[in-house]
Parts: sequence; structure tokens; C-alpha cells
Amino acid sequence: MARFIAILFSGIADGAITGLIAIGIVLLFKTTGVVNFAQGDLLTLGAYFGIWLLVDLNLPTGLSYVMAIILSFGVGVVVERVGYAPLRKRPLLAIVISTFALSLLIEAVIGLIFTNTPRTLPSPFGSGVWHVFGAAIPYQDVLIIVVTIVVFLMIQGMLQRTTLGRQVRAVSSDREAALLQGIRAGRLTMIMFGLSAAVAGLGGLLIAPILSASPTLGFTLMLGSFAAVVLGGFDRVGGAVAAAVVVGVAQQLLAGYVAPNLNEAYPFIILLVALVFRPEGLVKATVGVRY
Amino acid sequence: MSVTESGPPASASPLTSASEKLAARLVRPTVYTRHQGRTWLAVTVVAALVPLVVTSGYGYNIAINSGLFAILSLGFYFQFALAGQFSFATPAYYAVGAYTSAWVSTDHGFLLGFIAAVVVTAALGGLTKLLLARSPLIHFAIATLAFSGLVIIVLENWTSFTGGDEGKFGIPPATLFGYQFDTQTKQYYLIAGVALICTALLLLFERSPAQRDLTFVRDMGLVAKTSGLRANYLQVVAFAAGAAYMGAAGSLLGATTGFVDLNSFSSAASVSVALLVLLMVLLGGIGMVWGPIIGAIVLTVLPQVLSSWQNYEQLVYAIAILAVILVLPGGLTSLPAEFRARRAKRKQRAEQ
Repeated sequence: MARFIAILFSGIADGAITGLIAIGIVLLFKTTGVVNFAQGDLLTLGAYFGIWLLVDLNLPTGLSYVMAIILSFGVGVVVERVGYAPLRKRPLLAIVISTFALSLLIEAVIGLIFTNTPRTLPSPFGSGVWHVFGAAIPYQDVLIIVVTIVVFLMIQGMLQRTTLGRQVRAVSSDREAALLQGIRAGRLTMIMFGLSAAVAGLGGLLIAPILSASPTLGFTLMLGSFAAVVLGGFDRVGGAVAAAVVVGVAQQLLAGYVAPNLNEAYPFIILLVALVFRPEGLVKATVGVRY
Repeated sequence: MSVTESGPPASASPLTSASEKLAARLVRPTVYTRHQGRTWLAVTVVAALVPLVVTSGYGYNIAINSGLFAILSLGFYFQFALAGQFSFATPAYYAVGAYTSAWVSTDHGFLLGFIAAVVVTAALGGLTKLLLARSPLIHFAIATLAFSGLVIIVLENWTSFTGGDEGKFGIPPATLFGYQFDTQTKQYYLIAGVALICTALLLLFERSPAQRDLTFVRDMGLVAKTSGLRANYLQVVAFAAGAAYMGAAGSLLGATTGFVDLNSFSSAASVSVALLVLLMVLLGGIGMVWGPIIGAIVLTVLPQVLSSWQNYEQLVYAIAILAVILVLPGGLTSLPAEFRARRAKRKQRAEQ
């Protein structure tokens, strides 16, 4: 029982992190209709911003977290300016390749500045654990789960209740009509790129104390969140997050009870099986058109 | 857009938008006016003369590598430029081809090994595309990324088949009907020969009606279907053919180096080979068959010349992909046409 609880919690925490990447992918898909392959590397970048500010510059924890998120937002805007804006009228594949190139670029820059040696970010709770039914759950896992729930509720609230969110939904249902209504779609895209990068960066800050940060950290995690997005729907924030938790738990359970050495393969298998049987994902996205 | 036209010119590609394609369509279709046969003969002569210039073993290594990557890039060109499918699975087909050929050729000789590699990778490629036939573009790209990762993980864990970390040794050198390709010069000729045959096959394909159908399916999937084309069938066959090229390259890799290990196919989440081949095709240009070949040669030779790149390799590649996509979507082979268009425009402006 204790082992099961421990595995369950670490699965939920893993799922929460992939869920944070998935939120970014969904937000961008809603506003632009493209999938950003650099999303995972924005998470890596967030982790390294945290390490740079907190460990190398010795700033206080709260301040460095906030600054890391702001910096991630900035990088997201730059990604939009370089990799998306000039290509907006070109075919989908050109944009996919350019975001892929940006992902490699971020990875390479991190590798050059911080080298490939894994680094760790200290957890704000140290190595404290919480005992539930005899299982020791690190406080960091609990933090990840709580923060993801809060972020998810904030994003959902933003989409449903604020002007910004209404604009996002308008653009995602019909970009041209939204433009005619005076919505500045270009600026909105920029904000959404920044926002999704900030969410990914937050994910990086949260995961770095558990998995040590290396330049390829985010890319590996992103594959799991692709599985989540395919399962949960490319245009559904809630669906994607729920699916991410399911994928995370399934991965940990399979690794814990069936075959641990194939741990990395499970998201791939889930993703492939899902796509073979439901080619457009379990829930078909309603924003298939890009203007 | 009218459907009955003789198909778009070969300069139309999945990376240029519909309006650009329409503009290019007003010019005569270039496929028939390019005299590809003559170019092919000229390239063959040049390839045959390479050993006059290259004398060292190091030089031959570069030449052989260029040839291997040219075949890989041609396979990717088949899948990407002709079938319009963006796939990350290049390393998977390359690796499967190499190991299949390694096992078959130790018992039954090189030729059977080569054929087995081609058949197995073609089947695997066709199967991937068939199973994912209904997936939209981005879903397909993501799925191939997962497929490639899965194949590499399976190979990593199947040590009795792949030889684990040490790799598989003792692959016999290539022999064809009793003739042994045992020196580097002979191996170079073998690889150059296969690359040229692959090119010739692609050139013949580009002249055939099948290519027009494929382009039609690529650019206007549903319209092609409603006008009676077997869209899925065409795409599956084209994707399988591309995979077969990659398998052939894998087989030749084993036959020239004598051993294969997983490091040749995967490092850093199996992205590197896929990335390199993508960059070769993009840099050379997806507008014509010569693009991938030029890209492969340039990108194999350049890093050797500029060995101080080494630390910055990934950075340079990433920036190069971005630059090509943003500034020169047609790649190096589109430069002459670009210059011509620019000169014509300048002339026009001068006349006004």
C-alpha cells in the first residue's frame, strides 16, 4: 500500500509537470493553430533561469522564481517574433520546422553556457517529506500538484472570465471575424506565446529539484505532454491536464509494477496507440483552421 | 486552382504558400525543360573522377559519408518534399536497415542483406504511414517522433540482436557476384553507384504521372480524393519508398564500416540524425532532386574543414535551419532562379 501511494503521488506530480507543458501547447494551438515544438525547451530554460538566479547569483527564493518566470515570458515573446511572426502566412510545416529549430537553438545555448553536466535546484522545502499511509511524499511533489492546480484554475478563469480570455476564444473560433471586431490578434498571439512560455518556465522551476536539470530535460518531458494533448484534445486545457495526469500515473505504475527499464517508452506507446485508433486525438479539436 | 493542368512545377514545395505556387505556375512547367538526364550523366562523370582528387583514407571517409547521407537525404526528400509528410523517423529506418542487413548478410551474403534491408524498411515505413494515414500533419510528425524513440529504445534493450553498447561486429564487406568491395576506393564506387541509381529512380519518378498525382494529393488532399485519386495508397507507397532509401543507406553503412552500433543512429533523444538530414534537405533545397545531394555533400565536408565548429555544431545547425526557413525557403538550388527573378525585376523597374 505504501509503495502504491508513493508511486501514485510521484505519477501525479510527473503528470502535473507534463500538464504544465500541455497547457502551453493548448493555449498556443487555440490562438495560432500550430504546435510549438520549443515548449519543452522553454521548461528547461525556466529551470536554468532558476539555477542561475538562485544558485549562481544567490538571490532570495521568491524573487528568483518571479524573475525566472518573467524572463521565460520574455523568451516566449522572442520565440514568437523570430519563429512565428515572419512565417505566419507560410504553410504549417514551415512553422513546425522553425519552432523545432528554436528548440534546438535553446538547447544548444543552454549547453554552451551551463555545459551538459546536470545541475540541481534546491527545493524550497529542502528534503522534507510528508507521511501518508506509511508512504513518504516529498513536499516538492505536493508543491508541484498544488501549483499546477492553481495555474490550471487561473488559466481556465482567464479563458472564461476575462477580456483577454474572451479574445483568445474569439480568435480560436474565427480569426478573421475576431480581427474585424477590433481584436488585435497579432498582439494577442505574442502575449499567448509569452504566457505559455511562462507556464512552461514555472514547470521547469518546479521539476528541477526532483529531476536534475540537463539541456535535454524538457524535450523528453514534452514527448509525454504530446501524448497528453493527443489524448485530452488539442484545444481543451482541462482535458489536456487530466490526460497528462493519467499518462503520468500510468507511466509510473507500469514502470513500478511491470517493467521499469522501459520507463521512457510508455508515453510513446500511449501516444502511438491513441493516434492509430483516433487519428486526430481522442477528442477532435474544433480549431482545425488557421488563417 | 485548376486541376487539369500538367501539375505544378517542381519548384513548388510544401514550404512555399499557395500564392507563391500560383505565381510559379504561370511559368512553364520546368520538369520537362530541365534536361535532368544530361545533368545526371554529368554528375556521374564527376563522381567517377572523384578518386583522382581524393587520395587519403580520410578523404575517402568523407566521400563515403557524403554518399551515405545523400541516400538518406534522398529518402527524406521522397517523404518530405514529394509526399509532403514531415517525419522524425529517419534514424529508425536507418537503424533497422543497418541491423537487418547486418544479420542477413553474415549468413547469406551482401546482396541478400541489402535486399532484405530495403524490403524490411519499406514494409516498416509503409506500415507506419498506413496506421497513421488519417492523422493530420502535425499529429503525424509527433507520432513519428514517438515511433523513432520507441524503435531506438527497443533496439537498446534488445541486446542479443544489436550487440548492446559494443555494437554488432563482423559484418562481411560488400560483395556483388563474387566481386569484393574491400578497398576504400571500391567502397566509394559502390556507394556512389547506389546513390546515383537512387537519384536516377527519383528523376524517373519525377517525370512520371505518379509524381503529379502525388503532388496533387500533397497540396489538395481532399480535392484529390474526390477526383478519384487513391490518396492514401499514393502516400503510403511514397513514404515506404523513402524509408527503403534510408534502409539501403543503413545496409551500406554496415557493409563499409564492418560494424554497426546504436551511436551511429541516436544521440540526444534520437534527434541528431533526423535533424542533420532535415537540414541537408532544407539547405540543398526541396525544389529538385539535386538539392538533398548538394546539401548532404556540403554538410559532410564543411564540418571537416571547419573543425573548430565542433562545440558549436548544434547551435550552428539550429541557426542554419532557421535562416534557411526564413530567408531562403528554396535552399541553395533555388539561388540561380532567385537571381534570375531578381535581375528580371530590376530590368523591369529600369524600363519603367
